[in-house]
Amino acid sequence: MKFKIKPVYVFNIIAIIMIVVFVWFYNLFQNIQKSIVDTNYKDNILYVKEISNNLSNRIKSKIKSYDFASFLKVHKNIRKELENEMSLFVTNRYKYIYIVDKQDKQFRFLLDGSIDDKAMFLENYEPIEIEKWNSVYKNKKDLYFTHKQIKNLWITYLKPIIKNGKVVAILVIDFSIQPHVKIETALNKLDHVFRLFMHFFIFVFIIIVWFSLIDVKRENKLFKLNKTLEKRVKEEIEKNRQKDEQILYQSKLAQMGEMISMIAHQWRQPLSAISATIISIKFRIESKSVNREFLNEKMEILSNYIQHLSQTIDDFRNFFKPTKEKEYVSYEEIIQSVLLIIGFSIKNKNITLKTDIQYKKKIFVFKNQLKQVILNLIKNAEDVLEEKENKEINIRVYQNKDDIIFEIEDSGGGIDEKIKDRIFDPYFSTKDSKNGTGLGLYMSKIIVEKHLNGSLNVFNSKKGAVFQIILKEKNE
Amino acid sequence: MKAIFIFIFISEVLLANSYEIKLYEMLFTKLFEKQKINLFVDKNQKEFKNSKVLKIVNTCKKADLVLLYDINNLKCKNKPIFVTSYIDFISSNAIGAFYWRKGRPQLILNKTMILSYHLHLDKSLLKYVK
Repeated sequence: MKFKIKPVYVFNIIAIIMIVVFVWFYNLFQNIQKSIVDTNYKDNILYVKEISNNLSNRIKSKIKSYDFASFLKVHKNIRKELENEMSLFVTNRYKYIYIVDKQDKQFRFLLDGSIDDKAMFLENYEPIEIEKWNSVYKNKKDLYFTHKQIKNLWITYLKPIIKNGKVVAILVIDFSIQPHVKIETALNKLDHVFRLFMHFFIFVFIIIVWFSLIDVKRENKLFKLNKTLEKRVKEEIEKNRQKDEQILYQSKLAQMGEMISMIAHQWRQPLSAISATIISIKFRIESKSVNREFLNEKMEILSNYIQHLSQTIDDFRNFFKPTKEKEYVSYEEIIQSVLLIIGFSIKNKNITLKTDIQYKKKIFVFKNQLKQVILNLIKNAEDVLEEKENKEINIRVYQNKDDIIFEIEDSGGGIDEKIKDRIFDPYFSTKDSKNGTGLGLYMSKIIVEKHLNGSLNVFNSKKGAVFQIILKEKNE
Repeated sequence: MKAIFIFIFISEVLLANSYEIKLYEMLFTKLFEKQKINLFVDKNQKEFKNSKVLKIVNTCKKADLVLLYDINNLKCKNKPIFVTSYIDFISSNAIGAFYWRKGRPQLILNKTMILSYHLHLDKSLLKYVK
């Protein structure tokens, strides 16, 4: 089966490729997005760890006591100084920086470098997710966690300030959500655009698939229709073949009838002569004047006539026997052969037959088929002239460039223009049903066109109808 | 109580101050052990409009409790006071305070003052006592 590339298949493939590429891009984008968020997160943590280390060391160097609260209570100037130093790190990124300690399970502010929402010294503090804050005291390890509940905050970083292996306070850095939001908003916008494109591509894909399905359905319908049509054509061809066979059969029957009629015509004269000879023999016998010499002479005559009858049958049999091989034959020979069969009948009907054969060369044809056609045309002319006063048939053979033209013209007045186009149709006849089957000209045309590779035409001359057989000179 | 507190806190983030009112309703009903509390507020009275528990009164005398956003607006001396900042809490005889610190909600109660007004200090509130 031959595969045909259709535009709809190309569109489908393009749509699938587009979606696959887009999904791949989207996946890549999501990985990059995750990577950006993670990197941003980690970078911030890393940076804040460094800050908190410095701050922690600074605080530890300034507060020379394990009890930060008592020390800062006394050294207000150091408290102020440290708070100012801490406030230097407050930026748009780090919203709150403060130090808390834990007194009787209660957290309280020691230092607050925050710019706004500043807490008082030793102010009680109840953090959200307090267990994490407690765990820093317990585990002595820094900790960071993301907020989902606190407005404007992103991450809280808790750094234990350890002195002599004991957590004395926690340095807290609250990350502002604003810079993170900016990045997230930008990424979300991009994500929205991607999703929008994704929906668009899916929509386009669905449309293309839908159209493809419609196209496939339409093609299936067309395919079924074609199959039906093919079947119908086959049926019609079969019908025509059967019709042609029937026509051929009828034509053969008609031909046989004509042959018998012509044989009968040819036999009439010799049969009369045989009859006369027999009567003369009988007369001599009755008058007892018969002698051997007389009998021998008459027997010889009878034998000749019988041979003539036999020859006539052979002539007809050969004439109508279809030739399977092409032969070189001249028109002169063909016409002579035809006239041998029909000449007597023409003479009897007082028809003048003139031949003008200018082209004398031999042509390479199926001899008997051409003979049958010429016989049929002469016979038609004979039939037309039967009741006419001026009975004349002119046969001409001449060359026109590459064409060898055989013409037979009768003096019957021509064919009515109204029926001229139909005379080669099967079963069309101007004769009564007894004399015409309507197959002669039809079969002649088929023989000339299909077997002799020529054409059979008709036109009217001043005298009558002219039938023309045109064959190519180089008819191989 | 903690769960409620967190719920209010989250809701506050989402739905502004209306859930702060809910906290007051829960807290004050526990302290006063009654379902209707007459409240005198120095400002933001409109926010209490829809409360079925807290009834805003025009004068201190009619109030069960005085809620002050600014301690300087204090006019009634014999009524329990509830404030909305830490400074106001430590600088007054308020029974408690509710305020936001570093983005986190803070509730503190003064046991002495609560008891001096013969209010009920529920067990669930003890953790907020300073």
